[in-house]
Amino acid sequence: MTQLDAGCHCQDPRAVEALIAAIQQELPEVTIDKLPIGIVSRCCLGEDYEVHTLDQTGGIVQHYRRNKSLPPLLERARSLALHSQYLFVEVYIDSLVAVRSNGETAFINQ
Amino acid sequence: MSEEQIISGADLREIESRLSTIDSSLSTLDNNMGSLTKTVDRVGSKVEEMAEEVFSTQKTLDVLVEKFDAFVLANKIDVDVQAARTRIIEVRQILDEKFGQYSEVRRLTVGILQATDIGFVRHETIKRLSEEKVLTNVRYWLCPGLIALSAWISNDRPLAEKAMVETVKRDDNKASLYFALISRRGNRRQASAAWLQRFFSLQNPEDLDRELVILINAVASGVFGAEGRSLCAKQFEVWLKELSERAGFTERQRDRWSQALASKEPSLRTEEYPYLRKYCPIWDQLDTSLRRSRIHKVLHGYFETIFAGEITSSASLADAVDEMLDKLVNDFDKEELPLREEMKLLQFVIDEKCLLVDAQRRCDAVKQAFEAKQSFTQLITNAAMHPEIAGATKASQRFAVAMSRDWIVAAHDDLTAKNRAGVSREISIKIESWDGKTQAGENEMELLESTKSHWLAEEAKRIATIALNPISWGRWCLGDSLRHTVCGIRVRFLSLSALLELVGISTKNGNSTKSKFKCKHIITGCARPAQKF
Repeated sequence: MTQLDAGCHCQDPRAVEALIAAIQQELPEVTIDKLPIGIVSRCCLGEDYEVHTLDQTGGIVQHYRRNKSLPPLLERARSLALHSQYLFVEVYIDSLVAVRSNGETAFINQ
Repeated sequence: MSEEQIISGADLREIESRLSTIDSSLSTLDNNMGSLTKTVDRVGSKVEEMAEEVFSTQKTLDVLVEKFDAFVLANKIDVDVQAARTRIIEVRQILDEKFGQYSEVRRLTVGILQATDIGFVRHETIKRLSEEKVLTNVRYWLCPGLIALSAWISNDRPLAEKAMVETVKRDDNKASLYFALISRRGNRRQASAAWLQRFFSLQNPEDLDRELVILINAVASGVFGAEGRSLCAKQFEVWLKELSERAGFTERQRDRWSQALASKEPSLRTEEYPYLRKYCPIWDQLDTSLRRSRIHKVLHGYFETIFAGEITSSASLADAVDEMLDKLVNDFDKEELPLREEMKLLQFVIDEKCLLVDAQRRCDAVKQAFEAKQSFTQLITNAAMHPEIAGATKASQRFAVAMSRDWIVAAHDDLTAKNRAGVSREISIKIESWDGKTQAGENEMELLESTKSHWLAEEAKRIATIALNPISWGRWCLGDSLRHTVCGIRVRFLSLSALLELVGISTKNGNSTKSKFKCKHIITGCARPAQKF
């Protein structure tokens, strides 16, 4: 990063590539397997509705009734999403992250 | 007729004589065969004898090989032991020549420490002896350490400071610990705290010696006073901050604490929930959830015990710290360490009378176990949760818990969330052919109704399947047909006897009433003591 301030005005493509490589090494991109598969939250529509899925902006995608299954891999977050202590549950391939209303999180490796 | 031959008159003597010759030849052949068989038998027995001999020879050879191997091994051991005896003399000579004065300095330091405790020796004597040793040991870190000690005893501050700087220059790590322990022994709390902080700051928090547990215990228990505790706590915080900045550290630490907390999970008593144990197909899952839900009370009690009551200063801990000083003073210098280790190995070969390679292997194993290292976070986790293994005092437990507070809270959150996620939403119950589901027993009446209708349906199904035999069937029909023609007891008896038979079969095959009561009892009294059916 210190090379950014080198003060050299010449355009050297190799130096740019090296800088890009250094940045990528320092801040690796989040790979697709590290992104959440979905977000599940408690639904307050009524007795029969239990949970709904959310998109990354917090918008509701779909409501699910008591006897309707969630998509694959999201079902395991259902009971945790129903718990009043958590605002929503992020579902990852190998883990769940339950988020409280104050922003605190709980990790569950599976 | 002319072709007819008369054989009665033929001369057969020659044929007969030849036949008798053949006969005698055959008997001769027979005799020869007999003798051949005997010879073959003799050869057979000889072969058996030979086989036995070969077997016994093989055994003898095996014994011989064993003896030979043992001899070779003994010879090798003798050679190694002999070589070790020769080499050990050489090593001892090298050690005496190069580092012989080091041992004297060590002995002198220990002597001065003991003499100072008692107060028998004059300061001049201590000073003279120390300065003499310095002249002969230019590079050894303990020499200026010794001068510093004697200058301190003689109240010569400038000299003490000079010597102290030199000691630190030679081996900062050892010097810091040395002065920390000496200051503590001299009851200079502030100085010992400063030196100890310096010593800790030189350590790698990922790779701590096992011995440091004693020091951390001592710090937590107040052996180095309040100053020591406060200064070292600052250093430990620096370590934790440094460690927290490493990628994945926080996750690992949360996971480690989760495991440590989960290790306190209680077990259920065998007499608890007898009906669920027997009639719930997912009992194992329920058992796990129940045990995990009870962990909070156990953990609360555990942490409460740690923070309850007063902490008494442990005399044995102060002794252990003093032992550390003795050990540090007597510890070999890194320059002489390879030779000291070699001497230890050679001595092992001589004492145990074993091969050099075997001795090396065993010494390596001992060394590895002795030099086992652990990270600071592992050390404080063990101190807090497994004090009996870590050898931690109550004060250390408090210290460790206070430092790990955030991780403990986070790990407890993780553990709780994990337990919550694992709780089964519906509990299934299966009693004989009936099964039902409940979430928390709120649908008890519904389940009771379900069992009632189930057993009624089962009963009806059984009765429907019962077939009367032809005689009973005839008795039933006869009774029914005669009812209108002959009014009398006989007619009703025929119909009644067939009906009784039907009921008898039903009672014998079914037992549904008993099952119905059994279901009711189980559903309404899951928490009651077990009862036999």
